[in-house]
Amino acid sequence: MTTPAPSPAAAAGAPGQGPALAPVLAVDDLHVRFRTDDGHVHAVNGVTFEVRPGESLALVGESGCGKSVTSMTILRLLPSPPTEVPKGTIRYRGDDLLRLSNRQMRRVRGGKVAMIFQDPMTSLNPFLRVGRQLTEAIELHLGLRGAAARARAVEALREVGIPGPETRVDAYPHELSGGMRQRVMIAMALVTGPDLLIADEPTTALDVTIQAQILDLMRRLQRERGMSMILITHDLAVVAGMCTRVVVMYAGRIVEEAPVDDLFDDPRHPYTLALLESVPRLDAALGRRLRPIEGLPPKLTEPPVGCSFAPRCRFVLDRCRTETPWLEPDADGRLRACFVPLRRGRPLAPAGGPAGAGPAAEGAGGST
Amino acid sequence: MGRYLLRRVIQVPIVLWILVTATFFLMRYTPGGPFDMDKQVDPAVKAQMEAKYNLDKPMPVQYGLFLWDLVRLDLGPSFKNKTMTVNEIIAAKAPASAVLGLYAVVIALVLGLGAGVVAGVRQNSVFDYGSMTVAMVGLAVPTFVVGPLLALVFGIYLGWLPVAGYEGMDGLRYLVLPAFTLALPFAARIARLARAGMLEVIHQDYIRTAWAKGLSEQVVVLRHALRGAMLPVVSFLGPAVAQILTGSLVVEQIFGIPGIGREFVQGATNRDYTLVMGTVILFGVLLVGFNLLVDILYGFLDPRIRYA
Repeated sequence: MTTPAPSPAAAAGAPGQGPALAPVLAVDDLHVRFRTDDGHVHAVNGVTFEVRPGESLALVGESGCGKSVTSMTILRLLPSPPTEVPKGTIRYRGDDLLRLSNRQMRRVRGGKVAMIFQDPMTSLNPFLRVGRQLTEAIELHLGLRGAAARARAVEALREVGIPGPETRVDAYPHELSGGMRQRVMIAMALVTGPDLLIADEPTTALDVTIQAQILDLMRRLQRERGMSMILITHDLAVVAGMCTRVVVMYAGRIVEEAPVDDLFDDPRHPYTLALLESVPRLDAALGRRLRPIEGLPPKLTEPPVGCSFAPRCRFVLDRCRTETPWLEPDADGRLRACFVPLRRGRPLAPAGGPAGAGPAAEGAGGST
Repeated sequence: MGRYLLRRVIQVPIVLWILVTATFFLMRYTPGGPFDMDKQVDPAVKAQMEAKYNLDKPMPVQYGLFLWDLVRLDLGPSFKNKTMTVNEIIAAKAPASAVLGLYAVVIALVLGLGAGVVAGVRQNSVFDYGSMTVAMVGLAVPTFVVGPLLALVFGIYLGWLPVAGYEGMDGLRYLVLPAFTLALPFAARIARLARAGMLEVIHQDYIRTAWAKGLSEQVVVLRHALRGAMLPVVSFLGPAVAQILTGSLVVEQIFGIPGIGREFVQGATNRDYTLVMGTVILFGVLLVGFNLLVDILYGFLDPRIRYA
């Protein structure tokens, strides 16, 4: 473990030296399914996105949309029966993670790509001292041992704002509060100096005040290190404060991808629109009612035919039920997977169908 | 921890007293006495013998005398074995049972933990199904079948090991078959408990965290999963070890081991009051002692447990 990493790291170094625009991570046409007694569950169906150096990308969607499965698949953390990845590539600095040997993969995990999980109460080992859980990562990826590893652990705890790190390093997880534990998780993930951090709902299990502290901490550390981040969440408020670009997922597919401001100002997919209308906003007009999304997400036991959101969509067209819309740029170059040209919450005059709300003039008059 | 320990140690004599008292009265009020023989005994002789062992006194007096002897660690004379006291019988027979038991405990732990942990980590594998089938058989087939079968195969057909006998601690050849026979059902229980524990722990979030750090499977299992998976096994071990060490009538009978298990059963059928009391007390002390040990061990295994 102390010897410098040979092939995969060396190979990864080469493309990384190029211009900063080369993506850190590129997921291409990823499919993930689970084998069950009742057939396959198609959790992720052709997901494509990339993470650029230093950027923080949000992966947004409701429970079961495949955002966590996608992130776990990046680190190959899902057990292999029942999980299958029939198609797709996940390139980290050029190497396809899905094709690395287990040994090579272990160097990426924790060392190059680190992960923070949702529930800090259960994500730390209750039987081991906090310090040990940090030093094992330090020993493995940084090659430090004994006192040096411990000193590095204390430093890492200090960096995430844990008071009295010299004594807390010997604490057991149950002796710390939820917020402190999530700080420990962050310290543990970042102590090896990864260049990509995947945070899977890192604040969902925490109090609102603690949430803000943890998000501040993550934002600060990410900036200081120039690290890339994938933030998985269903909380749009968190997205607005943390991320530069957003990928919206629904039923195992990406329905929209946009810079964060564009997405909030002018969502181009009906699901994104519905999502935004279902949460309160301070900048919204007074008296605007929250609008729940009717119905339920589809079962994923069959590969969906047509648009998965069609049964719940208020702008649905006939072709939505038979033809699958893929993620493509619309007339303005915005990426969305939808046949309905949406502008500021209203569909433009449809190109070839009789359905539709009305002419563009009406759309302009009644915006927001 | 200190105060908890003190309280637990104080509990020990109380538990033992309850055990001893219950056994005493159960034994005395069971029909038949130590001097009821198949053939008619002269009533005068019988009365004389009962007087010698204080059996003519009222029950509370007998109980008092018994307790008084007990606190001086004198278990009294055996009613049947005229040449030996109960203390002497235990001193003579318990070591063989303990030696056999010790080997059996080691075998049960090694086999049970090894099979259980691997079966849990490789759930639904061939090894998992195979070892759990063997464990089911180990639990279901009684010792008096397994013992003679092993003796037949390894002692007679293959001739590798002696069929019966006891040569002390160093006569390892003599102990292999009985120790295996004695260990098998315990190994099976331990394997099933360890597997269940492993399955529960291996799906915990913190195991996923360990994987996400890039640790190898060996480290994930041994450093992160094993401790939690061991907890159910440890609580089973308390009573199990006490039971194994005090011997088994069946195994001792089959393999001709001069152990205490035999004395226990013979004492009960002969209404040898003092011998039964002695063996019950021995078992009780071991049981209470090992349970105390397990509780202390728990505190070391799981830092969340606080003794207050």
